[in-house]
Amino acid sequence: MIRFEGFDAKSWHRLVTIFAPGFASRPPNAHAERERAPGGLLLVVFRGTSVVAAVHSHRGRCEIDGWRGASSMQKLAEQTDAQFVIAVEDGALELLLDRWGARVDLDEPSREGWLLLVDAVREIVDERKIYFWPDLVPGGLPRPTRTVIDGAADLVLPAGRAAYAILVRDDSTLDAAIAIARPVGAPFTVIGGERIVGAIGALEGNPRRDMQAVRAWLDRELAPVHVGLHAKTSTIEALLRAEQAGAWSRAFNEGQLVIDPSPPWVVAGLGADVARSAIVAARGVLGTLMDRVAPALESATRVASARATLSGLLGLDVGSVVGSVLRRSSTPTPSSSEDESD
Amino acid sequence: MSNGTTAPRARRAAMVRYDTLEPAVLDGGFAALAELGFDAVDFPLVWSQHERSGGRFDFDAHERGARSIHTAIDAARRAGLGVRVRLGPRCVETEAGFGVPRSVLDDAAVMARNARRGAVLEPIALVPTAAPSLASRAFIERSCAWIAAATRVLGDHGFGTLESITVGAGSFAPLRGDAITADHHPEAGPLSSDPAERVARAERIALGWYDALARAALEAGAPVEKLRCSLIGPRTTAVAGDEIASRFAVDCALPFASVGTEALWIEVREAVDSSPLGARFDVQCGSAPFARPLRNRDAAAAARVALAAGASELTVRYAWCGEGWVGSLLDSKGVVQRVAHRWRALFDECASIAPRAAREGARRTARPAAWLAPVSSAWLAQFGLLDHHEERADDTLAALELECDAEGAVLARETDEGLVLLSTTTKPATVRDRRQRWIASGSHAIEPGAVSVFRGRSGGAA
Repeated sequence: MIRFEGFDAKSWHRLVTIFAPGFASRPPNAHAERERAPGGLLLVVFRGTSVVAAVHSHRGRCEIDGWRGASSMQKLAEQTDAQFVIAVEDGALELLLDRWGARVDLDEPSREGWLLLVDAVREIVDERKIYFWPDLVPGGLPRPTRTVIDGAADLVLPAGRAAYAILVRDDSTLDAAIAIARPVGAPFTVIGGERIVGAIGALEGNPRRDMQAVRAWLDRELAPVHVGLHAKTSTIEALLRAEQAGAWSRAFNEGQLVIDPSPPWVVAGLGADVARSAIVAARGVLGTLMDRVAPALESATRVASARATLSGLLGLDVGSVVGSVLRRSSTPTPSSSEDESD
Repeated sequence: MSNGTTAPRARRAAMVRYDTLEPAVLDGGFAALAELGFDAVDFPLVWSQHERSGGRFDFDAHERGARSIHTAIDAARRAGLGVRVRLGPRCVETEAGFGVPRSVLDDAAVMARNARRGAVLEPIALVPTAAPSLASRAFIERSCAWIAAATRVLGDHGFGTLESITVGAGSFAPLRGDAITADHHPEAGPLSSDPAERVARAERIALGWYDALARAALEAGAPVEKLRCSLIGPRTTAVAGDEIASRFAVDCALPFASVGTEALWIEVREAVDSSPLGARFDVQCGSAPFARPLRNRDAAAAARVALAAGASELTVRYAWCGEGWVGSLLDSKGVVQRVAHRWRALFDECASIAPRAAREGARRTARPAAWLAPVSSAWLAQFGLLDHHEERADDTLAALELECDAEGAVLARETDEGLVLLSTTTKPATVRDRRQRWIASGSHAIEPGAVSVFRGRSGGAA
């Protein structure tokens, strides 16, 4: 069970659209403009070589003259101006959900049910009934077990601890805030900025003072804080889309990203980012000599961070996948302090 | 949008999850809702909070945290608000099982079945949950037992205090459609491969369920004129929507704001025209935490289009909710949130727009069949993904001898109430009426997202 409290639609919308800008809420009269905007997702339902239906997330139903296999997906994306394409064989979704329905034990915790859905999706992908373009998740990745998921959750936020994030606009006014707690024996709790501000008063935009105030309140009311973050929303949006290694550690060193307290996984993650950045820099200086050394260094970096970072535990560079998706997604929606009453 | 004339205004209700609120805050909160311009409240009575075991119900189970519907009704009446109650069985999307008790959903005789005889699962608040089969005798009996018990409790308080009692599925559209359209439950009967026969079978199943629920409410004493049915999703795509709307007044979903002004307009127009006993529209304000977020400004803009299209009654879902919802107009203490004033402004702005009545013999535009089985058509339509608006190009400006300086920026409709202009883009535009048949000054500048109503030469728009 997850309990949500103290959010208004504006701040929840802000938080969600940092990671999923395509989900941004839009007024009815923005529909025509959205139809003309590039990007979006193309969903193709095919049967043999014919297309049953094709739908673009911005433009609705569209005409596709035939299905020519996975190799044609990039061309379909270019034709329809889409950034993502999913092609589903007619009936595959039913098959997927039927298999899921047949396997789920409804008495099991819900996360086990979702892992079984992941299994069913992988089977359908392996049977070539669903295709994704671009293929952002590397093939052959083992499906995380329940133990791995629990381990990852314990690493990021151990039971009985809390975490928070404060995001401010470029003019230092509060954009959104969130606190998450895993109280022992109580539901996972997600608290919004409205409740936080209601409890401790208006945040000033000064990272040190704001973080102290939020941390003291969480320590007192919910659970000891495990990790806290303060940054400009625009900085986080840029970092999530950054391609070059070292962007996160540079932002941390320059004070654009304040993390306090910093648990081991944050330190290890930033350390790995520094190491990757150093390898890239050295490659530029040492040229071909570094090409021979770099794989071993990269491997050593991965091993060193394997147990201390989320990516190490899951065997998947989560940040890289998120970055790849966001770089192809809609532009972030800017927010201003004049935009308060929504 | 006011022209100074007096016209019957659309009724607007606020859904209140009284069961998530402290009784002590109800009076203050209801007064605040009345002040915001609401004239009724809509209470969902959640089955899972009142069934103790095996069909035994407890409506005053304070020790289990359940709160009394009677306390809430009395408080709403004190604030001068009309009271509507919806009984479900599936009436709230924020509760596990949409409010149906786990003991019912876990009953193997209740579960909708897929082709492999497995359960049809729906993700409800991130929990995989078995969808009930509307054809299941066991589900029908237990649903009817709930409806009868809840209706009797309302009757104890007097049906005279209520505006309406709604039974049915909840007007939101669940993700899975095959729980009805391709249900392999043994009591659903054989499933044909012919799409038309499949549709007819699904409508027969849904209608049987609605009929049983309505009969249970009536037999428990509900006055027939106060009984309504809540459809699955928007009116024009709801399973058996036409048949149900011909027998009962209906509650239905307004599609989400992102579907566009024209789609919203057409949906409301067709729903009103083809619902002879009346149609209410549920509009979401905010969202469940696991759903696509919806800002209130966009929800209010969708409601504005609905009012301009002639909606006679709107219900703002989760307008006041203690927890489990993001974006309510009042917080858990009953304090009005900033966003609420946007709704108040909308109600003031739309005060003079007259609601519209059904047209005899009106027919809906045929929609294409669902293309993404097993996802429900109603869900696709709610997101604008079941496109039935083939005639998007709007030539009504020319037909009404009007001109616009921005192509495609304004939708014009001649209605019983006069001329309605709707801005359909994010840019301002100017509409010219050279003959001054509608616009006395000959031109009207329309702001992005605005709706203007003109009642012929004598009228005007603001």
